This record gives sequence, structure tokens and C-alpha cells, in this order.
Amino acid sequence: MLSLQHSRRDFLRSSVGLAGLTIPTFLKLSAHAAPTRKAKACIIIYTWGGMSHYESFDPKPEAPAEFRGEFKPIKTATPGIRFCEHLPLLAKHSDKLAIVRSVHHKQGGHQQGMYINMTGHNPVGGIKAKSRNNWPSLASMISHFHHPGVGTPRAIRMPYSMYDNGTQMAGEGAGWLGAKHDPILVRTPAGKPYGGVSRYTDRELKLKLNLEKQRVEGRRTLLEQLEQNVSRKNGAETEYERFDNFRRMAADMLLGSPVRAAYDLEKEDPKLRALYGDHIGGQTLLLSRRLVEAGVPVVQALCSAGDLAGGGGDNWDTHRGHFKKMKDRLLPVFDRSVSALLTDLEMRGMLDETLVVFLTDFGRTPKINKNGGRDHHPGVYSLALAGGGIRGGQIYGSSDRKGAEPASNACSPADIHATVFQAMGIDPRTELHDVLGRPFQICEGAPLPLF
Amino acid sequence: MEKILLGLILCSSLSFGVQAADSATLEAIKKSGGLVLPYPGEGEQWEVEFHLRGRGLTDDGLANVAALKNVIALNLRDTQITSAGLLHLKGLTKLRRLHLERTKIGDEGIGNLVNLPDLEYLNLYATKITDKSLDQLAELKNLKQLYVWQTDVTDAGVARFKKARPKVKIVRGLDLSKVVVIKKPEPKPMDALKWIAASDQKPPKSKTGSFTTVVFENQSGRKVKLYWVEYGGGLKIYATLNVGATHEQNTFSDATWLITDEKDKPIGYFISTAKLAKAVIPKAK
Repeated sequence: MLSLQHSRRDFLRSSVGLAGLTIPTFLKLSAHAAPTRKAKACIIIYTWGGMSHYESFDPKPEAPAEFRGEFKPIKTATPGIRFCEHLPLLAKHSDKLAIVRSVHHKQGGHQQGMYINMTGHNPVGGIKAKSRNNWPSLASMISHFHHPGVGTPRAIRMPYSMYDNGTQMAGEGAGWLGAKHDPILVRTPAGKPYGGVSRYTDRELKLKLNLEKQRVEGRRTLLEQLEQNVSRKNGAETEYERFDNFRRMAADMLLGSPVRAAYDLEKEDPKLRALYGDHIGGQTLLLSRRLVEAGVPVVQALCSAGDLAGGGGDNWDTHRGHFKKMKDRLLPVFDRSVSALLTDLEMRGMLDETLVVFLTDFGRTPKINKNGGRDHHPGVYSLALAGGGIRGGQIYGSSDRKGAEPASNACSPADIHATVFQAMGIDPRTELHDVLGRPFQICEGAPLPLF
Repeated sequence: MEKILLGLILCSSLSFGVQAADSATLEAIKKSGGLVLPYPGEGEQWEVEFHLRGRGLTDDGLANVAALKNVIALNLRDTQITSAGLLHLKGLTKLRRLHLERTKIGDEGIGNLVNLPDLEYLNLYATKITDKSLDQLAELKNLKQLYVWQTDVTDAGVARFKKARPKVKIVRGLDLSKVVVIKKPEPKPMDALKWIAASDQKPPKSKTGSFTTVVFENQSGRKVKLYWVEYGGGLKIYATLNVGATHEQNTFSDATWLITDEKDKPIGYFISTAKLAKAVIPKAK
């Protein structure tokens, strides 16, 4: 461990070494924020495709049969709060969870629904995954306020990107914040994969984590010579810089930071690995904990197959065969892995400084369709938060009797973002600047009273 | 770099209108890999962390932290400190959060902590402490959270602590030795996929169908590679199978799975069906 640290430090002296330029930002920040303690890290769990609120956090046992569906509610550890019967493990953790049952927006498509949940902003016009005009993702924005030091990436996302029928979706990158804030995509190195298509085409994944140190350093020196010959046009980020930022992060990860050790899941207790489940969903959340423990401030974990292609894979887009798919393939993985994460964070004393937030595209339609499925429903859906100063064992807002629209305390994805920002000690009204220096207020929502 | 960082800390504390901490102390902490951050709130208060970059910290190094005073939060996780080092913490009376997990400390040093009036959070997981420590820690007036997973505390000791301090949250965590690894269910009967030997004709492109699983079994007597033929006809590697190896692959039905030798020369292929199936790669002729 020590020898690795030394070589890394030597290496930094000779090259980058800008990680120290961080304290003023931190101070400015803490001056804005409330003087209460803030969360140090954030784990964002995303269920791609749109998780049904009925079959998770907002069961409707009193609704007519064609609305309430096949499953029954179960009691949780908190009197008065009930979950779907297929979340039996998570039900024991209700004392840690704040469930928001009144989130709604107007975006009925996957791309648009994911974008508004990930960025907190409505998509304008056609949006493309690689565009720098997009709003930054929640992970990117949070990471902007964190400077973990060279050797530790600011944000990581796992285990693959979101796609719809082969097209990569916009909303997971840093958009106008610039490539240096793009969360680094990392493939979870273990676990049975989700059924369906999961594409690993992003160039980040071409990075081989077992590259030898000398080779990395050699390549880096070469590139730094190159750097001096490239001039910047109009203050904008050049193609070279985009690549450079990525290269820098990749090299940092390789050179013996604690993050690299965290990536090795074989070092984890096999019993604990079993607790999370031998599935890429569980192992991804286990890796999330290990990365946060190693100092990564933001981790985003996708809890489903990566592509909605075909509709038959393990994504949450359950237009047909909803109940069987939820019961057999989706809810068990989600239930086990998220419960294990909460257990693990709590027994290590990490939960009060680690915010866990669960997001999805939208809910599902109240009435079960003729294919035994539920369709897209942004009219109302449920999200959840835990840790990081969030008061557990509470429900915020409610949906109406059929689960069709908010009945009380209606709120938006932007309000969820504002809540996350507040927990992370970030003023939601903070202005950030794009690569051309134009100011944008990061969030238009208001924090929910969940603390 | 360290000098830049130090300079910034000094400047920024001045901007708060308070006296800067002793620069030699800060320098020494930096040198041992510690990170000093201003703690949010009024005045000159610090949060000091060694758990990421300063894991080499020993008992002697803690003296520098003691000299800093006004330390509100201190993280010593994974450092080399022992019970003897805790003596240095005795004077840090502003301490609210203390991480001592995964260190070599035991009961001997705990007595140094009982007079920290503001201590709210104490993490002792994976240390050698026993019920003796719990009895002493019950005296901490402002304690709210105590973490003792993977220590030698007993049910009786915890019960005693809870009785003395009913409002303190004491977290014992899971007994991992009791975690049962669930065995996989018996495999369902499998169809055998048809082996189509390589010819001049290209293998067909995959079509999308319903979710299924194929178990590949390499009986060819040599190492082979497994490629998925993409919807567009491109090849994507999924696995390399050693002699006699099996590989379980999730896929859609009507997908083409190409087998090549190590040098990417096609040997043959399978097309998946809707049912769970076995695909035996036959012996080379």
C-alpha cells in the first residue's frame, strides 16, 4: 500500500498536481450551506425502464382489481407504512427510508423521463447522449463540488450506460459542465448479468484496469508533450482536452489509489458478497459501497439491463407479463441488493454520511393493460432516499386512491434534486458555469422537508 | 503541491477573520498524509482525516493532531495507531465524531475517551474492544451513535450498555458467519442446440427474441472463443472457453453465437431458441 502511494505522489509532482486547488471552493460552499453536517458521499440507484410504484413503494390494496394488480402489501418495520410483498427484505429497512409517493412530471418517453430524473430539468428539443448542450447529470453536478484528490475519480457510474433499442440515452453525462465532470463508466467485475442486452460500447470501457504503471506513465509523458502543441480555440473545450480529461482520470485510477483496491471484489468477505447476492445488481451496489469507502464522492448504479431492446430483458419497462417479470426477475434482485447496501452502510457507521437516492423514469399506468402489463405513467410515481441525514421511517406526499395522480404534497424530480443537493451541503440555487463561462442555476426545485 | 494546499488553507482561514492554525502543525499533518478541512460552522474548527491517504499514521503522528486543538471530527480508520496513541486524543475536548474502526486499538486506551464531553459519534468496528470498553463508554454524556460490529463485545455487555444508555444507538451489525449462501436451484431440463459447422456461408445476423439462457460446453479439445453476432452482423466477444469449460450466457432467442479458435478462425455456430438450452462444441475433426 505504502509503496504504491509513494510512487503515485512522485508521479504527481512531475505532472498534474492540481487537486490542492480546492479549499476555496469548499469554503465558499460551506458559507452558503446550513451549518448542519452534510453527507460526504452519494449513491444513486437507477432502475431503467420505469419502476411500477404499485409493485414497490405505493401498493393500492383498496383499489379495484384491474388497478391494484396481483400482489399484496406487507407490513414494514415502520407502523403504517406498507410495501409490495415482493420487497420483504427492504421492508425491514423502512426505518431508514424516506419514501416520496407524490413525484410527477410530464415526460412519457423513456429518454425524456430518464433525462428529467437524472438532470432535474425538462429536455428541450432533440437530445443526444454525447451532446455538450445537455444538462449535467445529478452525479456530475454533485461531483463538481467535490475534490477528492488526484488518484480518486469524482464520480463513477456502473455497470453500463442506458440505451433504448441500440441508441445511447442522454442524461448520464456532464453535458455543458465539460468532459472532466463526466462520471467514469466502470463495469462491475462480478455477478450474474441481467437478462437482456447490456451494451458495453463506451470507449471508457476500453480502459484495461490491469495496465502496467510504467506504460501508463510513459504514455502520459508523451501526451503531455503533445499538449504543448495544441492551442485552445475561443476558450472552448477542444477535442484534445476532452480526451485529456478522460486520460487523466483513467491514469489516476490505475496508479495505486485506494480506488483501485476497492475495485477488486475478490478482496471482500465472501459472506458479505453473498448477502448482496451473486448478481451484477448486488455486486454493483457492493462495489458502490467500496468505492465510497475509498473516497469516491458520487457513485451511480444502474439496477437493470442496459438496453430496453426487445422488451424481454431485465429492465423495468413491463408493458407485458408485468407481474411475472417483477416477481421472478426484477424485484428479488432490487430487494436483496438495496437491503444489503443499507445493512452494510449502517454497520460500518457510513450511512449517516452517505446519501442513498433511488430514481427511475416514471411510474406505471393504473389500469393493467390487455397484455397483463402496465404502461408508462409520469402522472405520479414513488422515489426513495436514505442516509445522509435523511430521517427514515417517513412517507412524504401521497397518490390518489387509484395511484393515478398526486393527492397531497405533489413534487417534481427537481424537488428531489434540491433535497439531494441540500443533504450534500450544496445550495440548490448555486450557479455553475459551462465551458464558455455562461451561468446556469443547478436546480429549480425546492428541498423537501425530509431531514 | 502540498505547499500550495497549505498556503490555501492558511489564506482561507484568515479570510474567516480568525487566527491561522500553527503552520508547522499543519505541515506535519500533511506530511503524514492527513487531510485538514475547515469544519462547517463558526470560527476555526477542523475536520482531520487519515483514512484515505494517511494510513501509515502511527501513535506518534497523533501528537500533531492533538496540537491542532479545535478538532471536531477525526477519522483514523485503517491507520496504524494502537491503544497507546489514544492518550493524544484526551485533550481534544471539542471532538464530536471519532472514527477508530479497523485499527489495532483495544480496551486499554478507551479510558482516554470518556472525558470527551461533546463526543456524539464513535466508530469502533473491527477493533479488539470488549464489554470493558462498553462499560466505560456508557459515561460519555453526549454519545448518540456507537458502532461495535466485528468486536469482542457480548450480548450481556450490550444489554448492560443499553440499560445504562437507552437513547444511544448501538450498532452491532450482522453476524456474517450466520449468513447462509443460498444454493442455486436444480437446473431445469435443457434442449440441445444444433451445431452448425463453419462453411463458406457467413453465419446469420442475430435477431431479437425472448429472454433465454444458453450453457456452452467446450468438448472440442482446444481453447475456443465465443462471439455474439450482432444485429448488424458485427462480432462481439463474450467469453473464452478453456478445454472442457462451461459458460452460462444470457441471451435472446434467435441470436447467433459463433465459436472460433484462438486465432479467430470460425469453427461453427449455434442459434439460440426460446428454451433454456445446452450448446456442446464438438470435438474437432
